[in-house]
Amino acid sequence: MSLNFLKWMEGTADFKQEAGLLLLLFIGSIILIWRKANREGKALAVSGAVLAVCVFVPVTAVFLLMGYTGFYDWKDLLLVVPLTPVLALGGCLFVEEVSGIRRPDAEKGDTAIQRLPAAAAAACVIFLLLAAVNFHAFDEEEASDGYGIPAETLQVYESLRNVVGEGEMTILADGELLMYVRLYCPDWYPVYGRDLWDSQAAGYVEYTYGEETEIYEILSSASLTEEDADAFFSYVEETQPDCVIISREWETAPGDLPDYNLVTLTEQYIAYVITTEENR
Amino acid sequence: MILLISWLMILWGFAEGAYLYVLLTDGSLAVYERLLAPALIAGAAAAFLLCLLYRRLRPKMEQAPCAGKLSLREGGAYFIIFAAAGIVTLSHFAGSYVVDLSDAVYEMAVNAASGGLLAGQHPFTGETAGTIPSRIRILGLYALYAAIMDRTGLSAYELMGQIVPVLVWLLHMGVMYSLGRTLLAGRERYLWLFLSLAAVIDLATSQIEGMIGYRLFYAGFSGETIRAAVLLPYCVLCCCQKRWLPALLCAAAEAMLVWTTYGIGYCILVIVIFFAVTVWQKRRAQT
Repeated sequence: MSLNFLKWMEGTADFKQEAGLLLLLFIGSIILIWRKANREGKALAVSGAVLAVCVFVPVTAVFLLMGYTGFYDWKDLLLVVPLTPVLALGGCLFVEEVSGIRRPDAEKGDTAIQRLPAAAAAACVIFLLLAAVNFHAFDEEEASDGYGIPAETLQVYESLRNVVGEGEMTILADGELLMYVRLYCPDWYPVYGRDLWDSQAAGYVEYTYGEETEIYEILSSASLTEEDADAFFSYVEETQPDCVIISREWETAPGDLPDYNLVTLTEQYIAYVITTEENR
Repeated sequence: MILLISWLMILWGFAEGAYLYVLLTDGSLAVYERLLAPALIAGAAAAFLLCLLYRRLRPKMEQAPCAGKLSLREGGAYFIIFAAAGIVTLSHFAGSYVVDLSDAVYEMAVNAASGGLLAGQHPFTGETAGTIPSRIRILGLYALYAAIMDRTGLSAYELMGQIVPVLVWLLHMGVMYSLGRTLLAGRERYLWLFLSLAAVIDLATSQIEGMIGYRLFYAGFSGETIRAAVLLPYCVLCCCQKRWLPALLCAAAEAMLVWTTYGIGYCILVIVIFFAVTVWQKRRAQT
């Protein structure tokens, strides 16, 4: 219960920061629809408002989140609010109101009435064309063709595959890399599951992890303290994975250790194959 | 559109039935593929009969008013916005983008297609079948993708990153069109504006995680996206038109697609709220 409340708090804070304007537009649209739309529109406005209240008010949001498994967070609840139809209908009614096309004194051939939609249309087309040109600039990462996974991740996996060959392998890497390993290399096994990463991301623990949680935190951190390095390398010693992928930003890398065979360096990652006698 | 989506939901129900049968027997993808075609034919026949029956009953019920059809003469300028938004959307799917894998369907489909076993590996750990929670095992969307990939030779990205998201977007726009016709009865000239605004809103929210635009653009294959983009708006449309039976069908389809609230799902919530609002409106009109 308290975890769901935490999800609600973090989710709404993020949403207000990222899309607070949308919420204002939604409220404005609801009011406009209630005043101007037909019976069906009004039913949509009231239901949309009730659903939005259910999602944004902590008591109901926490109750609704109880129906989800812990991998989901508050943002997934937003999908239940009919945002697109309400905003689109609100936009139509707004244009109608501004253009005065339904005013009793408006004439059919009134040029002023026709100019506004045409100008709005032209502005939107220009915006969309610009967006189309720059659309891939919005994307954070470039995907590799055929898999839909980041090109850099694929590069790391292919380098490792070239060294160790086909077959089963255990891998120690951070959460994001593990998210893709099941897709690209189904025969590779993470030392701990992707659910550990999900549990960290969503503040939810389905399985009980002990030492792995600490190792996950070390793997995900940008820098490595001496204490962390000791804990990490003794964990590697203990679990004996075939490969280790660490952040390139770590100042202390296991470059000088004899068991670590450097395979590849990319912008973000350093990949090693562990060459101890036990696992080779 | 109502007819098309009702058909698709019934077909989906039969495909899910075949999946559950195979899962309870030997769990082989090949057997599921063999069963899928007869299940879909049976589903199409059942859908045809149900639609005939429903059409016989329907005229007795109260009909919601509908706007006319789309006309380029009225609101043609808005058609340009819609077309531009459509081109931008489709160009996104034609290129390469990083798929959002927070939903396990993608990995499970790839694992099933490569291993030939349904629910053969835990998507998060790679462990064997017994470890997958039953609430994940019973959802058969990934098996349908795996069967299509196996039969057609399409890659996971081509099917789940390109083809399915485009189909979901088209269905989403189709539902929006029908919804627009209901909501804008008497305001036909705004139908193109409604559609173009819907397309632009999806585009504009495509970079905000958790919004429907984001789900459509980066995880169009997942059950959650199908529910949010097609099933929920369709449920709203059915409720607006007081077609409670297809709305309930929608709730059943959701239960087989996404696991939420122990299978009850959000369509039921939408139906209950709409029903309460409709009753309230009726009482208000009487007084």
